[in-house]
Amino acid sequence: MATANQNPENIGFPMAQVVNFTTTNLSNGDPFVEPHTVSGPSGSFNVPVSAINIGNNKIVIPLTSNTSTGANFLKLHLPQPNSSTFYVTFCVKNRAMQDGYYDYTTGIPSDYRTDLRTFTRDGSGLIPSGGATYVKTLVFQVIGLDTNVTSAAVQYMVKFSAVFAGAGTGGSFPGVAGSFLA
Amino acid sequence: MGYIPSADTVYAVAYLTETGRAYLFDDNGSRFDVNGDDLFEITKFTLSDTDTNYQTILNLSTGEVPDVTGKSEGCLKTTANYVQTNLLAFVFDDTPTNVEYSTDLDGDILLIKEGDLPNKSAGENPPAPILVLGEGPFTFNPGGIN
Repeated sequence: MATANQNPENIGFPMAQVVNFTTTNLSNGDPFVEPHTVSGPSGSFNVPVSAINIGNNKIVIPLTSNTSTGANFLKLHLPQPNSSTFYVTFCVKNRAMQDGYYDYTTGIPSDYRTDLRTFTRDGSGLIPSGGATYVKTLVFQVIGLDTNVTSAAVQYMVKFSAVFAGAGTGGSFPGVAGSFLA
Repeated sequence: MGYIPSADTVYAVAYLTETGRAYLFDDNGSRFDVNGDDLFEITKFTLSDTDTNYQTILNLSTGEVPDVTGKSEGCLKTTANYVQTNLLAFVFDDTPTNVEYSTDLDGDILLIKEGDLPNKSAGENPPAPILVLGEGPFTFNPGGIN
């Protein structure tokens, strides 16, 4: 029997990163309670992002070109029906799980960290001698499900950053994960 | 279907159910719920033609409510205390069209720093994989079946 992941709400920060959405009725300034729906992701400048829909309202993004069992992924939990909450969790493909991916709850293993740094660095070139911080951006849009005013859609971004030491300082070269600085 | 005369004044006649009358006269304090909401307030209506029986020329008498099923030709008073739930209904739409969506993020950016993610504890291990037929290194012996 397949195993269920913990609810992201129960996993908690930082292993479950959360975004909450709200709607304001501009006619009277009051909040309007409604569920929300998210579209995306795309990369910066609308660069496509490799993403796989799994189950209901969940997307996984492979950190590397490997998508087989044991490979590392990001999992995006889009707002469920009657929900205004978006989560990011860190998972590994695992057939024993109900949705096919195991969400880490206490931390990430070293191979996951390496893959996440590679994903974040996104094939950038030689690291400067002074080191560098690389950022990978995923872009989403959200609207209210009931109000459905697409012209008022708000864009939000999930950014992953990693710090790399520079070459000549014990740091890294292209394709090689650098040492952690901060 | 309805007929609107050409006269200046148009009358609309409403018939209340037993429950509606109880709410109207606040029978035993029934009109307001625990939240103070007025239960007599009209919140739904139907555009379906539930209050006309073309098989009779009689008008409804005061207090009578038509047969909502439309299957009883001579019946005018059938729903003494009935909550109608299965007909197409329309709720007064108070959904705003002038809205602003927002997130609880600073600058609408969720920044996840790799360095802020802890190392996995030794006690956390994903479940052992389930053996799936067709994935294993199976071999087939073509001479095995006689």
